[in-house]
Amino acid sequence: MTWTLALRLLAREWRSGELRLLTLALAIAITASCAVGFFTDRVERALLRQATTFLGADLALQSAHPSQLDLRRQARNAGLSYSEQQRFSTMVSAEGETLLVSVKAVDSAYPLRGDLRLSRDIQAQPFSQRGAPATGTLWAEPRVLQGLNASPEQPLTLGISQFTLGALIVNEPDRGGGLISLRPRLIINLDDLPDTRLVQPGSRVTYRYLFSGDAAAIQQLRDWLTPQLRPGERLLDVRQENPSIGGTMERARRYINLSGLLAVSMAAIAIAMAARRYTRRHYDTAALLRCLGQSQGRIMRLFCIQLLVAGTLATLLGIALGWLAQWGLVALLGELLQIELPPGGWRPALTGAATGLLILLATALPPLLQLASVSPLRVLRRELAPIAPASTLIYGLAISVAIGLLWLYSGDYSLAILLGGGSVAGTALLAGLGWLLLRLVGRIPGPLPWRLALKNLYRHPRASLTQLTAFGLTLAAMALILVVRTDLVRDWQAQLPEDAPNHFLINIQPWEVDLLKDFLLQSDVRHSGIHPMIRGRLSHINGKPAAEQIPPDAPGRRGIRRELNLSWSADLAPDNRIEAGRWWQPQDYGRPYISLEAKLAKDLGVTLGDQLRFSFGDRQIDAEILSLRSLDWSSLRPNFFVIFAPGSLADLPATSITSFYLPASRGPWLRQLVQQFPTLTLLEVAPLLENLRAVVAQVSLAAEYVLFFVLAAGITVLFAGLANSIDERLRESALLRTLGAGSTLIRRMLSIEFLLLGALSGLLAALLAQAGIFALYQLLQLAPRFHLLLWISAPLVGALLVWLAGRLATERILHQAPIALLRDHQD
Amino acid sequence: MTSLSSSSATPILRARQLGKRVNARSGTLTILSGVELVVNPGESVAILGASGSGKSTLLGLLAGLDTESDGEVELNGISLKGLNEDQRAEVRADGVGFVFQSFQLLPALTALENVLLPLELSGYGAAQSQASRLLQAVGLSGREDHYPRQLSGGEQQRVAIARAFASQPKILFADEPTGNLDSHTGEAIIQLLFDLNRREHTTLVLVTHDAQLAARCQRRLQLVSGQLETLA
Repeated sequence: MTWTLALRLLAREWRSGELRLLTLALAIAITASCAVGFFTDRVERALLRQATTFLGADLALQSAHPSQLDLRRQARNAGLSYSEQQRFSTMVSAEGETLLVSVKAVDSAYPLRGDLRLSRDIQAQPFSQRGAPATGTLWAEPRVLQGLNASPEQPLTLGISQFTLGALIVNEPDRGGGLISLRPRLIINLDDLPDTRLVQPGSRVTYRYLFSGDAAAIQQLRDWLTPQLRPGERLLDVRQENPSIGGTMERARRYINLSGLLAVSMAAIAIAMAARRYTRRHYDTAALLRCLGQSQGRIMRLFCIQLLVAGTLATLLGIALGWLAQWGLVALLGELLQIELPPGGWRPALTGAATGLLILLATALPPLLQLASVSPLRVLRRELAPIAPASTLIYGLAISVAIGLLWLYSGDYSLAILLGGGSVAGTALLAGLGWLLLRLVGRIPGPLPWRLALKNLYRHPRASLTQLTAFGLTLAAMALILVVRTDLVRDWQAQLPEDAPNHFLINIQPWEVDLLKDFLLQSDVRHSGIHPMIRGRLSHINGKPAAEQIPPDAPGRRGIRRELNLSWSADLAPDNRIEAGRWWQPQDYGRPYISLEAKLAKDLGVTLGDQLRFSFGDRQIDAEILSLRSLDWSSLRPNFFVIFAPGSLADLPATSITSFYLPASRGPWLRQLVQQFPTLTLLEVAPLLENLRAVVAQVSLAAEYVLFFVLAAGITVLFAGLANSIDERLRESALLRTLGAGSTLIRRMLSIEFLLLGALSGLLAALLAQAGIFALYQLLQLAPRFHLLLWISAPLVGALLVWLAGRLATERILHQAPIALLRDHQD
Repeated sequence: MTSLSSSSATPILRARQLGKRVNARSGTLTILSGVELVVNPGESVAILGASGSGKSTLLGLLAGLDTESDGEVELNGISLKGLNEDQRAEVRADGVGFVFQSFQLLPALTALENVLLPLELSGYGAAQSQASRLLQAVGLSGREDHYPRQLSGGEQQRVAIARAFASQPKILFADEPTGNLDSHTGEAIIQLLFDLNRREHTTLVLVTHDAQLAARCQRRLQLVSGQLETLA
């Protein structure tokens, strides 16, 4: 009975247009959030897949010993592709010449992700290859031949086996291990490995078990593997394997989540405003129903059912539109992204639906409760407004749902709490400041339209403050997303400037350093400084063996398991920053002081003043930590975990390293360099750089399109907010016209009101966005800065947007007979 | 055809063959048709009629707040036919006052500011003193700074009357001016309206269903089936 009546009323409401704004706000909101969801879901997965090529798999288990688990069967059962590798360092020889190389033995499934590029010889066109080298053959980097002084036809000896060269390695997708893997690479077939007798019990071999396939199955495998990891085993993903790609991806993910969050928050504001209007316009209906003998409970049910049905329809419409919008975007972006987008998942649709209904519940329920408490006396005395529900109920419900949604969206509770708390504090701050601003502006004298406009703003403090706060929050969110995007993209691009070093030179002998400096200077090649480098192992911490102090599965274990690249320097590199302690002065030179990278220090559990002992072959040096440094591993400059004070390692044998940028057009100069300095090892990182650039370009582009949806959601808020006060404005304008005011005066008055409202909101938005920038940039690992342009443009853009939306909404009254308006909008 | 006129010279308000039709779901609905009316300066005319007879529609047309379907209205010697909304507003600004049943004060303005508004719209010089004088005349001195919500219904209607007389209108349209007031307050408001009308030599066109109120006017007309008839 209630349902039938509710649906009948709903149909009438729809015909009369009363529900349209609410439904529209909800549908647009869900469209925006779904489209962001669908789109980011797909792009994120595509980008992750792109990034996984750096690992050569979606997931890898790395172990110092053969795994005890039947991983092949596990992968087969889960429907995943599977591959195995063994990696180790050894000597390769050819006609008496020997060279230390890094060998990777692979199976026929290699590589699971990414593109292995080979070429027949240096001049030939590279081609893509899948699988392992044919048995008896190997693939080698060109510098193996250079190092051995061998021709491509000469047989190469590994252990007790002889190999012929199958092809040269141009680009290896899973080189990983940071930017420089120092030793030249050889790839052999895993089936050839036993014959070489290189792997014996006790040999230092790294085993890698690689998996790729469906994301859910990968996650299941990860969950299955994690508790079974034994000492010496760890799971690798792209974030650990390649810090520069991992960092970019992580920040992009956070940014995209943030955009989705803000789109949803703004949608909630729009719906709340539309619900408030809907309720206010239904006081009379509710009073009449009460007069006709309906109970409060039944009136509540009637309105709730109507809202629920309208909300469900809007949600379905929103999901459908979101799906379409996402396809449109993918069609537009497909070519630009140059990556195959995996199909969209169902999660965004479900999230969108849950979001829509939750927002509706949180924002529309409190005002709806008011309808039940409308006095039936209102039919006689229209000024009787219902009692407002307790503010704790309204705000408590809205805030809990908001924080819940933020968490649902980001899956990142620190971001959710930061944004939730920030919004609450921001709203209070905006309302307070808005009130002050209105009072301040209200005193400025001016001509009649100006005074009327000010009176309107000043004398409806609740309505004006609600609008100021809503527009302020919306503009702040829009500004924040815009500024963050700009800063992120700039930051990404700054990491990889056009002239980022694309070549490394290693094995520079002490007597070659000055000669090389001169040669680079004469050739007009800018380098990043020539840094001494020496390999040493961290053996003791504060006099006790390091291996006893660091638990086997602790991250600090990485710092003691392998040799570290150490250096010494008088000056602090420009991309290094002292986090604690002090850099040395000339009087400290020759003393055993070190500066340690901050994260390694944290992993090792050491701090300023602690003593670390390093072994260099049979020499041991104890050194005291004088400073902790943070540094940017993605800068493509030589960087070191440990730097000694000058003079403290003076008598140890060291070579040097540098990096430089050489444009592709100057390729032939490299030949000159190699001829002049035949013992140097030259590493080209251009292919890696190109991969990095591609990821950055794609992520930047995705960020742009996400921004578009945030702006669309913001504009919806503006319309919903203005619609809320439009009845009052229409009535007052009609009255002014009755009193003989011309349309010019009304137009001016409305324009001033909208411009002022927009400009003040913009000013508040700038303040809030600037505060947001300082808070958020910690999370996004960006350096916060003051944005002067934000303070100038936010009020201007705010004024323009609100004016435009307001004028669009009010233009029709200027052409309508005032009597109609006076009848329609009597309250 | 109905033709209702008084005898004297240049009329301040004239309606010729005035008609109004609206489109309803059941088809076209004729509210007024062939209305003829002539009102001379200084006259007071009451238009009576049952609820829904089209009184307020007629008032809206006569005052230029609405547009006619047929015929023509001439206000202050100016034909409203073919004028756009702005041009009609200009005619209203120049000598037309209104009193509404629901007062229609601007809630954002004080009593004084509400009265000031028409004066400011017409660029009147001594607006402030004129508005104060009018508020005093309606018995609201000392309430200048009060907002509409701080005033009773009767007081709000007094402000509305002061506002109506502020621009020294030649003609005043009143739509059920006592409709929202109790009989005692209503009586006081009517007294005030007629006093001011006499003092300011204003023409009064009053729409009401109250026969007693109508009886105080010089002429009484009744709207029946969309047409005007003179009452004896």
